[in-house]
Amino acid sequence: MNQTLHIFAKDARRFWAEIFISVALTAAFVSIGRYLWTGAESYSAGSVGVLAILLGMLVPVSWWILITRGIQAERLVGDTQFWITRPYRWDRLLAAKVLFLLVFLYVPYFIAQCLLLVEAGFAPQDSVAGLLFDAMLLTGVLILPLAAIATVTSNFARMTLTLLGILLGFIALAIAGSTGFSKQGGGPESSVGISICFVLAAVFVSAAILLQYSLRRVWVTRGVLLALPVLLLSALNFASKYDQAQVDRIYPAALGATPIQLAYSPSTGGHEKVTLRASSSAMVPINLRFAETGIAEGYAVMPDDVRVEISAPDGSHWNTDWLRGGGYRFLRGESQFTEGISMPKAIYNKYKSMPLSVHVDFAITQAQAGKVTAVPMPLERVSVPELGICTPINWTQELGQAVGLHCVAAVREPQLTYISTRWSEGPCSGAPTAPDAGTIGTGWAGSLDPTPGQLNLYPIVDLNVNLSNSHVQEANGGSHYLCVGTPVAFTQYKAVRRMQTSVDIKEFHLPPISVAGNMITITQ
Amino acid sequence: MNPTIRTQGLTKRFGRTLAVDHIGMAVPEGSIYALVGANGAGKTTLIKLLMNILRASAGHSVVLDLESRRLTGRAFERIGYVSENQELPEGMTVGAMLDYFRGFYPTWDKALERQLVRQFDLPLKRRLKHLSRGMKMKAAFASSLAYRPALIVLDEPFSGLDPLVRDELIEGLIERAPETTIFLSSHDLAEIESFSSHVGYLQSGRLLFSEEMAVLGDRFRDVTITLGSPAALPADLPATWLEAQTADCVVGFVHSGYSDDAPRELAARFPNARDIAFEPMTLRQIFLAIAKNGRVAQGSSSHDNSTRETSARQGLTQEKEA
Repeated sequence: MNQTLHIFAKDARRFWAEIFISVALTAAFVSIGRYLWTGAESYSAGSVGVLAILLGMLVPVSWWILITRGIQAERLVGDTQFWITRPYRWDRLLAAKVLFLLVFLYVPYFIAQCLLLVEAGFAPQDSVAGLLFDAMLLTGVLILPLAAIATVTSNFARMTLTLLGILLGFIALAIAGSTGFSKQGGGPESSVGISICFVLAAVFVSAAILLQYSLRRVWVTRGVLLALPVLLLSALNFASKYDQAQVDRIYPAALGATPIQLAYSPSTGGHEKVTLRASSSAMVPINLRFAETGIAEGYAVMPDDVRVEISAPDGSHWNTDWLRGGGYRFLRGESQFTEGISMPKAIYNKYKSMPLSVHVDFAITQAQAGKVTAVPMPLERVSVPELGICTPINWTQELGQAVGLHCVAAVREPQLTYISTRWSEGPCSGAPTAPDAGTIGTGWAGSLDPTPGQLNLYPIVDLNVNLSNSHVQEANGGSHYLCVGTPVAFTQYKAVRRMQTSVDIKEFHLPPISVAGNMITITQ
Repeated sequence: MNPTIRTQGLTKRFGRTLAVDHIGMAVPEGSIYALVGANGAGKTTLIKLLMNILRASAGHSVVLDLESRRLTGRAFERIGYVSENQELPEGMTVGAMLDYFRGFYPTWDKALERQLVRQFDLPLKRRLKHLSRGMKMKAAFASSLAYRPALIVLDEPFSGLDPLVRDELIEGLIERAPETTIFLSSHDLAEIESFSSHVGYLQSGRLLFSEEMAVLGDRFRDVTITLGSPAALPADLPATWLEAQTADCVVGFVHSGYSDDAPRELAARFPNARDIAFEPMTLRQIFLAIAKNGRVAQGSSSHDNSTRETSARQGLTQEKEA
């Protein structure tokens, strides 16, 4: 331990300037970071908001410098370093570097997160688990990879070049991904496989660091790190299949009545046109329109994932994997919605003139309304238990004439919450809108399965509450208002059932497409 | 008494290049062992193998009773290593560096540190990156001597230094000699001759000889034979005769296997000799004779290295084998 502290003290003295800059940037970020999430204020933040964004990028850059300098103070590449013929113990050296990062990176980061939470009106002690989860994500996504690269490069310049190379690799992969690979839409809602990949990558990179510190076999460690992308691509492929299988496991076929009735509802009105560049039209987007009914009072239903199978009269068929749904949340009542898939152009050309049979599977979640919290519309801000803090959005400096509601949560998304209130048809006169007056405004916030945290320097999550009917539906337009004192109800929903349901469509015809120049238009 | 360093079949390959070729050697405890050889002979590679900076391709070496490949961490509390290519913590001042290294060595002698600082006239408050090469080497010496290591390993420590600095370093080293074993590589023969007790000669990765300096001095003689009439060199020259040549009535060569019997043997081989003179040789002269002999052999029989090496080793290691 003495040797660990001895090396740590040396690094702390030697890199005081880098440490000072990193801590100063973090402090500066804390002082103006609120402009990044304070809703209406951010619109008027101007250059301060830009500076806050800039600081949000500079802080990780300062960490990169700190990690590189700290680790390469006892360079692990080469055979002329002073320390390799001194009584350094590799485990103590590694412990000293970990301590260095803990004290000068994680502690300032943690303090900054707590201060930002306090500034936003949250108690940090209520979010310790989320903050630790954030720190774990930060470690896996940023700190460990940077540390691993620092152990196999000899100086800052080589480290930078290596990072640039990795960045170019990612760009190339992204380009290949957007042009070469078939894409039918996003993956399913379940992403356990991705979490497994994350853990696998973190373990692999940690092992590479341990290997390099214990043996200093640079090419072996570099080989291990170079093998990581290959391993990850294989793991992602496996994860994708795992996630597909998970959908069938998590959403079993419905045995009895389903909590929602779905039916194909082709558009009877005007046709919608979608125009694409020919270069990006290897896939043809197909939209399917449905109507939903039958949801019981006190419940909500969400079609999380969708799977489509198309059969042709000649016996051939084509199907998608489970794809993420459109993010709809349905309550009691009737409504229509559209789910989109992408079909390879070759398949489209094969089936375009045939009457098709379409079988659509929906993986649905039924959620039940639970605790309801009603708060009066605040003048400035109000704390909503188990959700976060909400503030009125004002277009003018005049308080009490809110045109919307802005809510934030601490560290992570809250449990799925339905928000409902009444809009005043005109500017507020000082009295709240009566429960039976005005126009209803509703919205959703949060998620049914919120992750414990998120990878973000800002521990505040913007909940994007978009209340419906915010604008007056008249020729002259204008806005509705949320008057101070008007009750706002926050209803929590929790998942109670997950299952599959399906819709069969007979005599379905693919929408026609027309090509003009390098543009393709789909009419449906 | 176990040798401080011993190697057996120690070999290092870099791709197709054989940098160190089956070296077997022993460095006695308390000796000052000088490893000499031309540039590229493999001296630095051999030292890096001993210090576990590089990993051997074959063979093994033992340093202070520990396999070199296990030489890490605390084992270096007993070893002082200084190399001309070694990096130092350049951002530190000399004083900070000594303070820092002090924490690693339980045997660090602060009084000795002060003495070395005075002796080498080290500027404690100057950063290492602002020091001259000579000053840096003195700082490295001080930081490697202050804990009284059992073994001091120096790789070309005097290379490129001015004579004054060299003398100061040698003086500092000699003062430590009674309590330690010193293993150093150099091609500065005049210097090592003055204080080395043992010498090993490395050529193209092979150790041609390894013996006590005094024995080596006794073994090599510059021989001049004055004949009664001009004569050609005999065809069957012994392998121990290096650089043999004749001019008119004079035959000259370097005898690498000189013994008390040599005058009688030469008198028998050259019965018309009028005079046979034996001159002791400096290490530099011995080194040059061996080096030239190697090059001549290399030039004349480059197609058959094994023949050359066998011939050279037969002659140069005669004493050791005997």
